[in-house]
Amino acid sequence: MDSRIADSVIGDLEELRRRRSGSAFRNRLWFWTTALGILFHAVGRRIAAGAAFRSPRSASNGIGGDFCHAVRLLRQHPGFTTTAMLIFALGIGANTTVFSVVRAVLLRPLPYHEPERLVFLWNGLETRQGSSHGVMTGRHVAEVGR
Amino acid sequence: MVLLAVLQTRDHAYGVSIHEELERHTVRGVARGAVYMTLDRLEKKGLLTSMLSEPTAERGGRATRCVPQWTAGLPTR
Repeated sequence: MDSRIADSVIGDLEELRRRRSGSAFRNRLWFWTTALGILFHAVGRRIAAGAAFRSPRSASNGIGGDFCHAVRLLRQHPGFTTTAMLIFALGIGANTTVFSVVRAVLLRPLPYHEPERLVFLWNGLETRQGSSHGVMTGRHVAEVGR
Repeated sequence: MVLLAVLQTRDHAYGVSIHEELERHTVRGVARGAVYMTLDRLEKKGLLTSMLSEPTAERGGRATRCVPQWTAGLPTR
């Protein structure tokens, strides 16, 4: 599509936009979504034409042709497309959440200077009734050190 | 179908009128991009000729790509 033809397509959309009723914002939104739709269509056709493998059986085979066919099928089955997209969204969301937790808990170093020198101190008390253990606080450590 | 729509729109065939004609005769929506790309392909194959009119104010100062009906379906080269 050369620039003069692209200009005439924009002119068509401009004419339709002016014919439309409704708010200016909605009409402008319609204009841009339609223009982008046409642009994607043109790019898709160009990819399909460029990527087509010219086999003797069919001239429309190829990655681009397959892509266009897939998009067309998805558009024809909106229920399936919505379900598939929701499942994808859930899967990606769950994966991201799990990775965020793993990164925060296991992979990222603690936000202290020389975190590898941090230790847990426990104290234990062995009696005839059994044993008890507890984490030592800073005050306990200071008392033991005296 | 695009060629038939061009023939149906008679004296004023251009992107908008061809798209409207196609939507009127089909039971489902037609992508505008498909119409423009088909017109482009048909012109490259020499099955129709298009010409640009003078720019008008209602089109934001842009020209119209008109498809004269008499060229549709006839080899132009």
